[in-house]
Amino acid sequence: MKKLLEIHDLYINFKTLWGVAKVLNGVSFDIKEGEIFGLVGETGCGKSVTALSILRLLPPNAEISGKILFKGKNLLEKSEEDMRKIRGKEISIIFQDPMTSLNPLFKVRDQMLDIIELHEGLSREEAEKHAEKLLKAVGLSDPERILNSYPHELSGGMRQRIMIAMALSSNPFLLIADEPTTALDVTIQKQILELILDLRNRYNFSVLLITHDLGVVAEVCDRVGVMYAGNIVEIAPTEELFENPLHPYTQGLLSVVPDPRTKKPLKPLKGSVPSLLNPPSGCRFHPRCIYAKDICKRAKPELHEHSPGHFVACHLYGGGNCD
Amino acid sequence: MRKEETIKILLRNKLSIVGLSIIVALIIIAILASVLAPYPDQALGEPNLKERLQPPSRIHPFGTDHLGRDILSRVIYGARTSLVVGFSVVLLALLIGVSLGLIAGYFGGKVDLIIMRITDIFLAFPPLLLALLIATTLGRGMLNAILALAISWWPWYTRLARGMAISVKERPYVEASRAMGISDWKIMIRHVLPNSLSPIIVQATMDMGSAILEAAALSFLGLGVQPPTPDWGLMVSEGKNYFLNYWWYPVFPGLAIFITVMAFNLLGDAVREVIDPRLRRRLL
Amino acid sequence: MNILQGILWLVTSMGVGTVIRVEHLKKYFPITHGFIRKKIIWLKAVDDVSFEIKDGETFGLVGESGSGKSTTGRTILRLYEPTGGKVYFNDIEVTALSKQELKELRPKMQIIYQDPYSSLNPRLTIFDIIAEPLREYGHENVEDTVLELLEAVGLSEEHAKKYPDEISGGQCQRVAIARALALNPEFLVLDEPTSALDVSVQAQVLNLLGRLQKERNLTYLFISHDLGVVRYLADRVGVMYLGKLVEIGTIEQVFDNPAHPYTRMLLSSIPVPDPKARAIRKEKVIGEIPSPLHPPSGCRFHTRCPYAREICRKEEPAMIELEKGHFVRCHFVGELQ
Ligand SMILES: Nc1ncnc2c1ncn2[C@@H]1O[C@H](COP(=O)(O)OP(=O)(O)OP(=O)(O)O)[C@@H](O)[C@H]1O
Ligand SMILES: Nc1ncnc2c1ncn2[C@@H]1O[C@H](COP(=O)(O)OP(=O)(O)OP(=O)(O)O)[C@@H](O)[C@H]1O
Ligand code: SF4
Ligand SMILES: [Mg+2]
Ligand SMILES: [Mg+2]
Repeated sequence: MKKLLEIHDLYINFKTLWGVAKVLNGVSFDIKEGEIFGLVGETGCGKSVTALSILRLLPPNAEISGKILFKGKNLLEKSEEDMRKIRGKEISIIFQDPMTSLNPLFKVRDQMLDIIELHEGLSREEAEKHAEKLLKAVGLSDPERILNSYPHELSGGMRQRIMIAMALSSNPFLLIADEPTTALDVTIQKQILELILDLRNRYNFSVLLITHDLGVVAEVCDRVGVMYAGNIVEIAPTEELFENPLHPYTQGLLSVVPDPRTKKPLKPLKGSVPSLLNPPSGCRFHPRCIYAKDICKRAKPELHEHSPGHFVACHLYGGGNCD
Repeated sequence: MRKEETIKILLRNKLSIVGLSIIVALIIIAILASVLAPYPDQALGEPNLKERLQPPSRIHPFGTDHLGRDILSRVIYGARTSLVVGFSVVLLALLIGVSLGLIAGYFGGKVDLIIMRITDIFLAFPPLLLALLIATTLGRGMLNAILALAISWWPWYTRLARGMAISVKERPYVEASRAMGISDWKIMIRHVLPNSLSPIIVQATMDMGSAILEAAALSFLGLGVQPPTPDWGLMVSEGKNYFLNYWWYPVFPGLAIFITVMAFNLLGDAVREVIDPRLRRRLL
Repeated sequence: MNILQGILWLVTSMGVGTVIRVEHLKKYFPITHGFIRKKIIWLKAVDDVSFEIKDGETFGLVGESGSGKSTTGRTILRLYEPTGGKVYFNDIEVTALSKQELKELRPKMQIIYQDPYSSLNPRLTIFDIIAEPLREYGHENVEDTVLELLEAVGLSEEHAKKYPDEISGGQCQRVAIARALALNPEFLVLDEPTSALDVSVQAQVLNLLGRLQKERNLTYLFISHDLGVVRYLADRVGVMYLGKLVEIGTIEQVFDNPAHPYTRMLLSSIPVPDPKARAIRKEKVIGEIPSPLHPPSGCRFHTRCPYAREICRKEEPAMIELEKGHFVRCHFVGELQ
């Protein structure tokens, strides 16, 4: 399959009052056409920053270096004008909280039609037809009523469906979903995840699905990247990752997720996530790693292909810039 | 919140440095008035009829007034009066307003209803008018002016404190204390009060300026501080009759009022930035 | 009747071994509607809920957002005054106590909240936060006790001087636990104690809670919407839907053999951290939770239930004991098995 998005060695620093936060520390991964790529990691590891950097929506205090190739072109070199044509049209994004992403003061109709008119250049009537079709596609059976509602009159699940409908209105190549179900109940989450799967199968767009829930990853993703403190530490096809996790952090993560099917003992990782203002040297995971060796404190392990399609950044597996 | 952060934020904002410096300077001036003022005796009211209404000069940088007193000295001493009056008014109003507001907000129900009814009655009057009414009833003098202003002022703090108390009492740490059987009064003082104070402090800082202004207005109308006490409002009031020919007489005390009020407003803005976490994050 | 039987009868009738007994608990919130003519509608957040928690047991309460889990927990502690029903703590009728009596009982029953930061007063040091209950009840040796408590929850002396915003979320939650333990409680309401934490930290806190329960013989009401976590910690579990308990049983009964259609829907909705299990989730998920202000008639689940029939719209099903200790509220329990 062709690669739709390739990120190479992305570094992002934020200048803050309290110093420079080294938030992304050489992130590399790619997303193929029609693929659902999961990005998992705990709070603050840089998932949302990665998503925003693809759309070039980072705040002005960010310093970026690296390459983000979308259909072979580097997005970081595009003009703001070009980016505006890409955002919402070729790459769409939906966020965690469907309440704050919709303006509470306007009816759904106005908000949806504005977007559709803007991107598609359709007339008001055509846009309305298109909106109704989209709402049906995301499983909202009464589009007329939905269009006439204000956001607060709709449930969280409905609002998230509307956000998805709007994101898909222009047939994007890439849908970025930043924790699209975290604010929702599990039964609604299941509906939304199934919807994303179903729409992907029908329209064959790619998805960057950001989540902190390994269960969600297991349910819908084709491939997964595991993030820890600004680094991607492991990338593998979903089944491979769960069956044969290589990185100690991934192993730790899998052993702390309670499984509703059985009562297995949890083996917690020690410590907690480090501050990015003053991240640990070498492998950022080393202070919490039970296997940490001397080299882990000194050198940053590079992501390398351990077995076909299975990448890991850890000195235990050699490769990279090991001395 | 760590101290260095607070200082960093305060220093980031140039205007807040200006406000802070002016106020620090004012306080120093007020404390050292007797040393700084060239003619302390005149400042306290001693007439000097030989030098009536002199324009600004080397000896009298701000000129002299209709009794020949050095205006600079009187403005310096006036800082004392103004700060004392402003501070007392705000403190008194805070004391009454915040206690009542906390009680109303925390206990709710009938207590709330009664307190807020009373508050609403006070709020129905324009504040300065109310202060005027009270001052007229109480009679002239600095103490009565302070009382009058504080009485017209506390309801604003009651409202603010009540709103804060209502939101703070819903926080889990308050409920956790209730679950531990901690008494209501202790919860109010240890948990609700400290966590309600931030916006009240911001408001109070800004209000210091307004209190000084309104105290000046009362003096101007002859209801506040009485001559010969050095007071900016009083000086403007006396000087206004001489404005056309002897502009320096009302202008310098007027300027002092203006600068002080502005400084407190700038400081209030800065305090808001320090206290409000949302604004703090925006500064990043 | 011989003496032994008599004693046995006495013991069982007094309910020894039962720490919490909730009988027909109701909590309605008044919601005012309209601007001019104020109309009051009652939001039945908890509507006739009954269950028991045994000594040293963890009773899980699961259900989706707004089903009334937190309200149940708070009403049991009388942080909310119940609209109806009774709560017993070791055979003391909590719901009948005066304010003074309640204060005396308070140390025995504590609560831990979801958000670690907002459950600690940001203006107090960790030491003062944990010391507050000790001082209130006139403990001697406050200092030593605080340090012991810190150690018990895996923190150290150096944390005592810090403020909540200077420590991590997981550490805040440990402080909240230490504060709750200060008065030697017997019963703890844990209201989603790990939902706001990262998974790696969540596991630490769950293990801590498990250890403390054993060491101090604590009884837990464990509220969570994360069924994995409930399976890990709870012995028995109750499933709530729109203010009603629809199923109660042991963890195995409810998780391995769910009888209520809602429980089945809930269980099949949870994402399982195992990609090979994808195919197993066959139960269809229909519709969304109705507003608790206007709950459906009859069985509250009938609007989403794949098995619903006419009677479900009209009559509310009763709690039926399916097997020992396994209760289900559905008209068609027998048939669905
Ligand atoms: N504008 C900013 N200025 C400074 N630091 C920032 C900024 N935005 C994000 N960060 C920091 O970057 C890090 C990564 O943030 P990010 O939002 O990507 O985390 P995340 O992985 O999405 O976490 P979550 O699961 O909580 O959403 C965090 O430590 C955050 O504090
Ligand atoms: N103080 C209150 N006043 C009015 N309504 C309330 C109050 N507390 C809760 N409710 C309502 O009661 C219902 C049950 O709320 P509760 O917080 O018990 O749910 P929950 O099961 O704990 O949900 P969550 O998983 O979101 O915490 C909700 O509809 C909620 O809006
Ligand atoms: S009573 Fe009827 S509607 Fe309710 S769960 Fe059972 S079958 Fe479904
Ligand atoms: Mg994020
Ligand atoms: Mg709750």
